[in-house]
Amino acid sequence: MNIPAPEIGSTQRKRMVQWTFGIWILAWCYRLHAHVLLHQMEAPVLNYPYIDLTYWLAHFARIPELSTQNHILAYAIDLALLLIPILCLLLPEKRRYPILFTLFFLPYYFSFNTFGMSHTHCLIGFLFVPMIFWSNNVRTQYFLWEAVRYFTLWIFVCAFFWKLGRGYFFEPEHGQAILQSTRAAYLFYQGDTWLGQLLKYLISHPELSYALMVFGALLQGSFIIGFFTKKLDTYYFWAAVVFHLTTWILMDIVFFELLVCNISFAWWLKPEK
Amino acid sequence: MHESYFFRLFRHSKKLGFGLALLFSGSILSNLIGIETTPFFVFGMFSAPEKPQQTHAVWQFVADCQTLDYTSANIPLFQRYFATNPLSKYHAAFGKCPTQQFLKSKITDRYNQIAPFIEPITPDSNDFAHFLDWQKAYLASAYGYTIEQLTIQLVQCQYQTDGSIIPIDTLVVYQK
Repeated sequence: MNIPAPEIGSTQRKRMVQWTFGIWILAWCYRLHAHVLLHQMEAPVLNYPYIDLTYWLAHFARIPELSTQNHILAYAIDLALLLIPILCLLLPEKRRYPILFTLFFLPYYFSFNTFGMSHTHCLIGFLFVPMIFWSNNVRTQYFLWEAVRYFTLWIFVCAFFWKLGRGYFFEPEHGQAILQSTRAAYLFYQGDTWLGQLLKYLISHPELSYALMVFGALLQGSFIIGFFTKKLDTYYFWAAVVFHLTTWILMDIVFFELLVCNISFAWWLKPEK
Repeated sequence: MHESYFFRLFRHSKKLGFGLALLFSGSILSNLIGIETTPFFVFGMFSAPEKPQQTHAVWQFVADCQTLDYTSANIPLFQRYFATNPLSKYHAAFGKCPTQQFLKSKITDRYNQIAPFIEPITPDSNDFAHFLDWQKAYLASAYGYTIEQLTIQLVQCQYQTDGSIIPIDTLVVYQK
């Protein structure tokens, strides 16, 4: 039985490209403001490949070192990471620019994580989502778009199962402990702000911070239904926004760049049947 | 079954099907064994249950007698992250590469076999010796000051029952 595969037409591709690279341009501006682009890193000396073999390969090829220690190269990559996305916005039908973006993005990705000395996941959306546009084939793009959707569901579901497996739900003081450790510096310096007052209230009420953490974990777990139906995609879109916004405000963890994966839930970008 | 994603995908393109099947199965395997190798990511952050600790250490940067603010709303999170996370790792490492130390602790007997691969790409004592110069240069560049002398202090703080935090001890740990 042949089932016709949905497609991503040129209008959808254009909109998806605009959202993807529009979000990247915002992220690039935020990172410029935060002083963490390659030319702003001041040639860091300590790296952290840890046990990730891909980082080992990147360091064997001296990619992070060259990208940060050679100022001309650092400026060139940073500039390319702004100009290429602009070209993507102007010429969304061209596939060479998303491919070029990935080539220039990789040195930044490895450098930010290895010299920041933690393998953060905030940028991984930009590793995968631009791959949708590497092809001009309407069906290949559809299958890649759907893969990004499954991957996004996987991120949340996997995080939920880690919490379930490690007994997260059975430690009623976990919420309080996490807020205390992630927010100590903020409370020390900014304890009198509205956010400081809110954090102090949550820390002094462990049952409330525990309830919030459990709610967040269950929210992550709810993404499992998405593997079986697309009917909840609008809910997932907003759930991801609320989740990342809440972790930003309460736990000082920025994952807003991961919201680029939300294009797979966005109802206004759905592929044509 | 015939409507499943991978069935349709393999019918469309075997090459793409194998690629994505590898990505998804690799991701599942990575999470089962708890070892991350890009692009097979492990999403276990903040999942280990933690007990509250009454004392926490907070970094304090004093640049030429002026305390640098790194927590207020006008300082972006990534700037705070880059100013403090490598420093915390450096401080905890006591001059030894964290990657090498981790591997030595896990594969003590076989470490010598992989040392020729890992040691050339990880920091040595010379890199550690230059870390504080980098820290000073980064802070100077990020804050737009010329810093003559940077003092890095570790403030031991204690949580109170109302959730507030008070300093109980301040230690000068580095000066550059």
